[in-house]
Amino acid sequence: MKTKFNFFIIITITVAALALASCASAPVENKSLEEARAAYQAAARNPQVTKYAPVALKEAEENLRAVEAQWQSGAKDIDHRAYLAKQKIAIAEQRAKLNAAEDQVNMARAERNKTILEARISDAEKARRIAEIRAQEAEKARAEALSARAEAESLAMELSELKARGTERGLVLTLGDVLFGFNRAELAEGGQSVVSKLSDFLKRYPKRNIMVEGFTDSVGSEDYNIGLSERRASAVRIALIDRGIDPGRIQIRGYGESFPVATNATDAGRQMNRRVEIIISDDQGQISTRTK
Amino acid sequence: MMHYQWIRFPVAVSALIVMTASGCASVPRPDAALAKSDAAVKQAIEVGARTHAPLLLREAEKKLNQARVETENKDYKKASLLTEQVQLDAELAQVTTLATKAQMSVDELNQSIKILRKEMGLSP
Repeated sequence: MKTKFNFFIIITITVAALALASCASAPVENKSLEEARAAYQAAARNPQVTKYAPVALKEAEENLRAVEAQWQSGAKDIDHRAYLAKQKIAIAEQRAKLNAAEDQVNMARAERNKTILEARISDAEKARRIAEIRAQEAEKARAEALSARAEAESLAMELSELKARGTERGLVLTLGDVLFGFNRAELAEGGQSVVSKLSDFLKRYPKRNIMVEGFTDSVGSEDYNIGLSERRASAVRIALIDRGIDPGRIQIRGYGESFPVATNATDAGRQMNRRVEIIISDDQGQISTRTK
Repeated sequence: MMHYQWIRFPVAVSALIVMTASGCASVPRPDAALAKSDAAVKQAIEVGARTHAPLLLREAEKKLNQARVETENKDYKKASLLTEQVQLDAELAQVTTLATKAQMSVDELNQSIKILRKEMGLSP
């Protein structure tokens, strides 16, 4: 029953189609259709279109097939229909471009956020590095302070090694005769090294002043001996000034053959008497004058 | 059941007659299609087709004007076909514009990322 009924419908439509075709002129050319077909084939080969506008492409294809069928059955306005098909394909292509670009915008946004995050991490990394450098600098300063203190301690030790004696006038260093040239006021090499240590000490303890006192043995005239003892004391002072010590911190005295520490009757005693004594002041910078 | 079938038959025949008649009959005035075409062109202009798809837009506008002229000349068939083309032309202009603008956004974003990376001293 149902097949029979469908049969009538088909007959009806076929007759109608034939009737429609009867009042249209037969198609003579299909150039527009060929263009549309070529456009579709190009679009179908474009992976962007198949990925980003598959539905629009499918619709364009179905439309093109319909137009082809219409052309086969001799429908009129084929140019017009082919043009519409071509435009639908172009629209599918542009839609694919649009969707692809929107996809890329989203990816680029994510990329930008990632970059900002990376930049922040990089900033944090920089801050961490700066903190590290500061810590290293602090550690270095601490080590330097430590070594400076150790140096000061060793300096004090050296001063004591230089036979600095504690006296009622203060700490006293004795530069022996060998630290000067024979009968001369110039400091010998050994004397220079002692003066160098002394200047370091004075720089470390800026409140302490010194008194440099020169002595000779009893050989020679008294005037000559006083002059020599003064010149030797002065040589020490100048050497200290050369090393950056404030001249106001250094007093000198030339005592000549006065205040011997040993007998002038023997060579050994005389050598001990030829000396320069350096008295280091207390924290107030005061040094009392020699009385004995 | 059979008689039901024979009631349907004249209906199909009359449909056939109507369809045959309309095949060669004159087309009604395409006012609705013209309005739809006009709206499509306006929409394309609104998204910026004047700047980003000027040739496609010009094509659509030209055909819309022609469709109006044909309507005035009572060639409704020609006018109707033109409105069909205008609607697709305008849609193409619109989608092309949107695609171009989206691509510009992509380029701008990528550029800004490049600058950002450079400023931050990161590898590109």
